[in-house]
Amino acid sequence: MTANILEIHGLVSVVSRHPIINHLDFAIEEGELRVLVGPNGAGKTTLIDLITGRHRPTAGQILFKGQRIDGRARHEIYRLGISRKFQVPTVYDNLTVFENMSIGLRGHRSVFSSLSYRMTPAAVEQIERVLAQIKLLERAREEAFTLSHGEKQWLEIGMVVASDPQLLFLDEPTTGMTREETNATARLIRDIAKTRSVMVVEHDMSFVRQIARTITVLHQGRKLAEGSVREVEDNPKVAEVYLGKVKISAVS
Amino acid sequence: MGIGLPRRYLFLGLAVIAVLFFFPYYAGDFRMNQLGLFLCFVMFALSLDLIWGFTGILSLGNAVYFGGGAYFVAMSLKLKYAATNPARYGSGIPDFMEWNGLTAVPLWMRPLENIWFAAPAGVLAMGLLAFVFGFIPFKRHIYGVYCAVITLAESLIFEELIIEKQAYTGGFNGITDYGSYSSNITFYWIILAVTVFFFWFARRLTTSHFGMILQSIRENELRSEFFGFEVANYKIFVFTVAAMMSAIAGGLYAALNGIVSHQEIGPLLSVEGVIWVAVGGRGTLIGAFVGPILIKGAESLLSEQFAWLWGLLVGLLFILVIVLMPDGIVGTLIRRARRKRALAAGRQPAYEPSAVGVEETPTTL
Repeated sequence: MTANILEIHGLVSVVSRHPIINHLDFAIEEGELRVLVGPNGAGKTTLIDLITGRHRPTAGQILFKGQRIDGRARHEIYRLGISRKFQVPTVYDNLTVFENMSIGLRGHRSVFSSLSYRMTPAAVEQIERVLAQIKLLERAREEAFTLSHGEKQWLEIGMVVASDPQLLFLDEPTTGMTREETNATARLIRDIAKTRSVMVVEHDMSFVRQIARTITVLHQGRKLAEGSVREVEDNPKVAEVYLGKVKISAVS
Repeated sequence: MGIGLPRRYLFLGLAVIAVLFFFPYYAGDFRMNQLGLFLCFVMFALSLDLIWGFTGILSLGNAVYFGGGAYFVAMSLKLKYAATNPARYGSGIPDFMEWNGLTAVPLWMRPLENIWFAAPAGVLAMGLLAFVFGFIPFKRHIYGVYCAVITLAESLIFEELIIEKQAYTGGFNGITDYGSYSSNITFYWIILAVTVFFFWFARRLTTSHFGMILQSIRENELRSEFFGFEVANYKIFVFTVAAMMSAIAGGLYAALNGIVSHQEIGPLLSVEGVIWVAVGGRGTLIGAFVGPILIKGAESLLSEQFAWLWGLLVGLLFILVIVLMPDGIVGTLIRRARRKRALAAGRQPAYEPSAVGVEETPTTL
């Protein structure tokens, strides 16, 4: 059995007396590719927000490689090796694709180290390698606002990959993509997940089937089910939650 | 944006510097002095462009540091002038001190008599002040309009302080009659040299990796935080550096102008600076040159022609520029060039973000 890179014990997040995350226990194994699904308002994005330090949990513990990280600053959590892609693709519109990538690149985070930082050929090569992977190499010199929605998704994925995290959260990485783009994204994510732990939040079940080994279903801030694609799809509780939809497999 | 001056325009920059250098020879002392003051405003606008145009912090209190630097220099020159011209006031202390019942220069003010101490001390003091005034809001994640309001309040406080403590500051009348460096071509050239240096410095800073991080903060500070940048530290740093630039500009201004008043430290100049940068074009550096020269130049020329109408005309000019070119003059030119490039590459930019409004709350997701 491999060690858990992330462990969550009794996590609670209450926003104006409404529990968004409700006594959640959750773990991700080292090197795992996990998919998190759940209806709107299940607390998927909030969970990522809590882990990456956007919000403080009301109660409970978050452990990254055995170390408590709940309540720590965002930049500190990043520096431990945790990155995230936002639900809405969030890139720097007025910077070029290449510049966007260089912001993502790991290293030189403090004011004074960034003042003296000169990009090395190795760094340029690394950026170009990722750009080739996300098919944006030929647009490297263009400002990010010229990209389509799907391309922005890829750029942000590229940026977080360049930041070389040990644990990566991808919040709805295929929204706004065509079927072909979605398939390409699935290949990309499988590739990324070879060398790190990844958790993907996604609605698109055909996409989920392409990448998932283990699925966790979140509902009203609690873990409703967890298991392989088949186990989760056959779970009657899951079918019930996706109201109207008799089986989760119908959602695609 | 990241686009300042493309390399092929370097000769244009050198030509502008040459024109400014030889300007006194064909324009005379009056215009030279005027242009010298405008150049001080250019430096002030440059510092504001660093914090507003590049980092996205709208400061309505940048004049605190300009005025602060100016008061240090003016006070120093005044003390010296009063001491060396005792016949003028009777007792060898500045006139406003005498009127307010002081019989000697206060002990804590004595070191300021030496300009070589006072000027650097002013710059350092303003840097320290900016560090403190930056540390508090930025570490507490206060941004956007709230930050603007705080800086505006700082500006008001200092203006009030200057007016109230008239025994030490000259009060409402400001500090005057201390001898100035006006009509001194060498001093004009010094101002020009410092302006060019500031341009070079700001350009280097903004085109470096550090500058790119500043722009990333302007574009989306939340995204940058999740990329491991301690955004507050970057803001504090650039705020402090900009304040020291403003203080130097203010010191030169005081030495050239021969009078400083509460207006140079209060909201009036602070807001004027914002207008100059907005008209010139935010985040372009060149805009910080075009804005003040154009507006102050127009103000000066129009006020000579139209006794009372000029204020109206300047206001109209401002409105026209903002309505027709929301990214400012230089910003709009750059965007046009960019659009042309995108079209030439066969792509219609789907969405063009406007620089205006970037200082609003960062995109929340």
